[in-house]
Amino acid sequence: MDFEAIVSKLKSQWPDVEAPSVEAGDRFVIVPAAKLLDSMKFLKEDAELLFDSLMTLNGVDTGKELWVVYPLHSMKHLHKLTVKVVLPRENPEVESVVGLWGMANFFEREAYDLYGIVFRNHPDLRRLLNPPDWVGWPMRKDYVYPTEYHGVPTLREGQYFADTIAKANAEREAKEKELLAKAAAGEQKRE
Amino acid sequence: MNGPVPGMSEAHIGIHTEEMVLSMGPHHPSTHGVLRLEVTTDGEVVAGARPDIGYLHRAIEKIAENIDYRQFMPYTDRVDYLCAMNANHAYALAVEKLAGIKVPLRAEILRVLVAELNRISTHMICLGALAMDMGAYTPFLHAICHRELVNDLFEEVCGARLTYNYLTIGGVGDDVLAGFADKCEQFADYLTPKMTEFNELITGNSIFQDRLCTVGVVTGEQAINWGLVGPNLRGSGVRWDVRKNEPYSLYDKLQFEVPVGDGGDPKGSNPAGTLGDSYDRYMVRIKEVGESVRIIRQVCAMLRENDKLPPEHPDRQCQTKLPPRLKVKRGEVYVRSENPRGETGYYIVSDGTEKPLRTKIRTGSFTAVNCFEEVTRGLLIADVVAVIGSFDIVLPEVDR
Repeated sequence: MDFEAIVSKLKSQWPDVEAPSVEAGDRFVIVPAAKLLDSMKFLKEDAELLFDSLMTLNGVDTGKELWVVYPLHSMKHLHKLTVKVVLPRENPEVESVVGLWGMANFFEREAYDLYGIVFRNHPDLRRLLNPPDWVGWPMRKDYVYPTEYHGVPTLREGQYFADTIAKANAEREAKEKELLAKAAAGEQKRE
Repeated sequence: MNGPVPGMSEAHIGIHTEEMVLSMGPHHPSTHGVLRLEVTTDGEVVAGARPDIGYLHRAIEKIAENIDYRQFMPYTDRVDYLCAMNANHAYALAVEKLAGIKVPLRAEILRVLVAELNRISTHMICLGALAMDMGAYTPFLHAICHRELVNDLFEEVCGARLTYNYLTIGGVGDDVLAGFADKCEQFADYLTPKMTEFNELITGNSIFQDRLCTVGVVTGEQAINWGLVGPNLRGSGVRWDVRKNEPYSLYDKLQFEVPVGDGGDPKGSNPAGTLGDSYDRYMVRIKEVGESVRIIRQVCAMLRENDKLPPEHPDRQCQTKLPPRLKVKRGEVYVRSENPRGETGYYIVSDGTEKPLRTKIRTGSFTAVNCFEEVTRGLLIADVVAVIGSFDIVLPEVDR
């Protein structure tokens, strides 16, 4: 089945499923978070769709909202679909899909660890890559880098975080612009 | 285990036994890096082995958000350092699809050539290390010897022996020297009899077979559900190879087979085993080395054909001309390619600027670790080592 056919099949069940047009890359559908589990179950078990393979699962932080992205693939029918859920930055919660695809276990733990997205009914939702006592959600755009961990500084002398460098660069560029403007003004005067 | 145990004398009945938690790793040599397993044991039997990962977490995905598309290429080497060429390839494919870049023919030929050479070299590590985990040290040394020759070829191509950073977005870094195709064919001629020797050395060894057959069985349905990919999926009898099923680069023009596990088949390579056991996963890799040699021979012929073109011909170029500041349209893409450890998928979201909004790397080892607890349940402790080895887990790829 092609993308349009899958979308119309989904829309007949859940009319509020959106399929926005894109400038480049893959097309995707946005499913309301409350209806995720039902629609995923339908996508996996419907005989015409049969999405038996979840290729990956990941969180995204756009700066305004969080996404959870589920690229699906059917080993039998050889079609693909990317399903997306949009969540608020405050208290993002979505139903876990571990019951449908066993591979989602670690991927959901990773998304929880890095973005703070809570997957309801996950069998074992703990931090995965970071230590259990880590504070904050490191992959969020507004994450503040910690300067120490258990008394050990995270930076050596003369080392900076990427955001410090970006800030310094922006300041330097602004100064250069100012100087250039001044020079241009001076030349105009001379003329 | 409480209650009477079959075969125990009456005097022992009523002895209270408890489960013991054993920490395996992170510095255990058999865990292939820094993987820690929390093994709950009931005597010699594993009741559950919970993987604890993150020791090699370097936040590569976070770094990707702070640098532009081209600058990220060297980091992809470090995602899976045993097959850096393939890791480069996967990332280049994703960015090229998102930005709509077309790659010249010569660059594609060189990409496939180095990717298949790298597949051989990383399979050598896996096969040798698995034999070493099972107590046979010599095959590892043989395998490392064969791998050295691939490293020599790569040193000639790009100057590095481990993290190559050879592929670029829109092509490859540099052309190869004249006569490279001959050297690759020499290597192919060398490897074919050496693989026969390797098989005689270890593959047919009955102790080795006893250690691997019927150990860590994964059925095809389970493998798809757990998201196993690459040789681990094919070992369970699922004939799925991205190179064949969703061809990229030149793979649709090449002739090669997709080997799958055949455990339990009296005419197959694993008559004593079960479909999807550790020996099947091992045999799939052995057969894949042979298929890679086949591909290398075909690609070398294509490279020679390409050498005859005049130097200014568009098909003879190694790099597409791209603007110095690569800007990618708004959009997102998920592209996967067949790496030695299974599909490596790059999910990239672009917001129309020079830097990606999000780069997610989906690797084969990550899902292999994910299903570890289920696969190892009920095995002996010594067999856990066989399962780790046969899944071919590389930890930097798991932690990223």
